[in-house]
Amino acid sequence: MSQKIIVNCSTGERTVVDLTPEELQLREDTKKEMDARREEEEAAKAKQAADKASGDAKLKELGLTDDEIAAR
Amino acid sequence: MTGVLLGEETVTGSSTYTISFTSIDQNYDDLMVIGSMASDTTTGFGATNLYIKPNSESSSMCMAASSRVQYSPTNTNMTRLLDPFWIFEEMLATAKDSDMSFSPLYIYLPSYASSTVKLNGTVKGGVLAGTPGAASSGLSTYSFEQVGGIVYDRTDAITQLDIYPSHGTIKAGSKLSLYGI
Repeated sequence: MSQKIIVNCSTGERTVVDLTPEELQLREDTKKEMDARREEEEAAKAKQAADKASGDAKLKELGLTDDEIAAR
Repeated sequence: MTGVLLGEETVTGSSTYTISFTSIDQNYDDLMVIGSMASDTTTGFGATNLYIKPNSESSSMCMAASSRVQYSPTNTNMTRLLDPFWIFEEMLATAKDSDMSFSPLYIYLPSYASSTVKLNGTVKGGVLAGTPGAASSGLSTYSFEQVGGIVYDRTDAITQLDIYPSHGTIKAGSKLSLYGI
């Protein structure tokens, strides 16, 4: 079972309860949201890297050295 | 500064999704959570997100900032999400981290019992992974610390904190201690 540990700070009592269907659904929803965000971030990073490579290549065609490009 | 232990938990099973500290004593200035924690997930990236949920929040009134995520429709230093939870990216080790069993975890929440000020805080975690996504760096492992700033956009005193990973269940051996400061 999927469980939650509850620590009551006023009594010190520790209880273990099963997650409700609503809590399980919430967990699934947040996981999907995190996955979607990560995919979006990875796509943005990939585009940024591709744009940089493309830009560097164009600068090289204009005659800039690798050091000059890196110094920008 | 004297810290008083308010509650602690060491996870022994393999099916724990959440550690929930409830009925938090309101007679201290600040709250601090320290411990070591990991997720048992074997899918996805070599790290997972940390959720800190105050007061069983269910509405979109909280915000989280991370050193890593810096985009937002309203504030470039905040995550774009206005979630009912605080979300911190890649704070926790997972079963994919071959060189690290647990991430160190530190959460500090000043003025948690105030009912008049919006609460700010900080959270730190870290990951050492043995399987980096890109080998081009020449590194066989990578290590990073994640630092997040917290804005709890409410004036409710904090009486409950739920802490859990975004993916998987909490790895057995994880332990958290909650202190009043």
